[in-house]
Amino acid sequence: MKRPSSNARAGWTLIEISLAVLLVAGVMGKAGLVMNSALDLASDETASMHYEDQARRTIDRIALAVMGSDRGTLLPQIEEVHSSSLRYSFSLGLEDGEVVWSAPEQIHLDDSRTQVQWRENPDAAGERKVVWTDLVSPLLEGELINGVDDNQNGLVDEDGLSFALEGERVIIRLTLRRPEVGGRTVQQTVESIVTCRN
Amino acid sequence: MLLPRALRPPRAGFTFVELAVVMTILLVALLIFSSTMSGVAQQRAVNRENAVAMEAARNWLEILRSEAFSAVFASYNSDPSDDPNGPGTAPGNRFEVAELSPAPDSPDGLQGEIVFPTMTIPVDGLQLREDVIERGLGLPRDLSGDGVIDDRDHSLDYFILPVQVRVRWRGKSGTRQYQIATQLCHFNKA
Repeated sequence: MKRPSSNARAGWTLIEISLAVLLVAGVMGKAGLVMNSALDLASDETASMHYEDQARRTIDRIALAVMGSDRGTLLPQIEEVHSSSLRYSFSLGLEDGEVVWSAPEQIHLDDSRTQVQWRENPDAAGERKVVWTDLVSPLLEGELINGVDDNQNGLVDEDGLSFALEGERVIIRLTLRRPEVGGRTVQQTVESIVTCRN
Repeated sequence: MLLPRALRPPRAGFTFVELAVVMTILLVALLIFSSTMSGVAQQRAVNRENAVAMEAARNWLEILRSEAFSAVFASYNSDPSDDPNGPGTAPGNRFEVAELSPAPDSPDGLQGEIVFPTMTIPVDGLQLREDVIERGLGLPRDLSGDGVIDDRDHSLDYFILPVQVRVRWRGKSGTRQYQIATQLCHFNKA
């Protein structure tokens, strides 16, 4: 009786399997790297959006407060100089034909230079205080303490929150900044121009 | 001697077809994942563009609001010859939004434009008109406060000034536009 040829047996040789394993491992490794970097990027973007949202929310609150105020009551009054603090009173409406003004309020950077604080009756007995954000960068994005206008916005060595008066307008700039896991730093800068309405 | 096929024990391992199916499923999963990620990234970019355009438009409206009311039209229209401090001295009707790329059809590489209800008359030049049909600005309407919609130039006696701030840019998903309209009034600070 004739024995069938052994060539007819199915299956892979060791070399074939090794090559297949190597190829699969290579493809999976690359896919893993791509997924990892995509997730890192997504995480950075999520953080960046989160801070941008927070920055816009904060600057909108500041803008709304300044909008209702009288340009003549703003402190400091000096144009061409920036400040990290602004005092104002805003209009509550009319009574007997006269504008009724609110108690004095202040928006400023606190001593740690990282918090934007809103204060009502600042430095008085009935002072109220609310922290609007605690992620403020020590300096505005692109700025260094060197007496030079590094970020070319017309201001020198400005803080992470800065108010600049220009005629009837108040230009508000805010940079939020936070180190993330992995040594990366996420920062977001927003700018708003507001005209005092009263 | 070989056993008949039916009596042979089942052989362990994957067939080529099984492996191919698994690889295909993995590949499809990867493609779905990567397309989802890229879609999310694109949506974020679009949201960011919107926020930048909106902020720029709002800022320019505030700039217009802060100007002397009677000089707004002359300072921010497209005609440099009527600028209050001499021809070519006012900002004009175009502005830059640095964080956005200009649209391909931008005539000067700028992204922003301020639009008033105007008409260009061959001899007289640019006129502020009440009889322009411009729904986005609420026209036609009385701008001078005399209760009549006429066909005269009201650039020197307007009481209400409709204005539209438009930002047009080349975005991640093609050419895009954001516009905001309001009416400036004489009883604002002049």
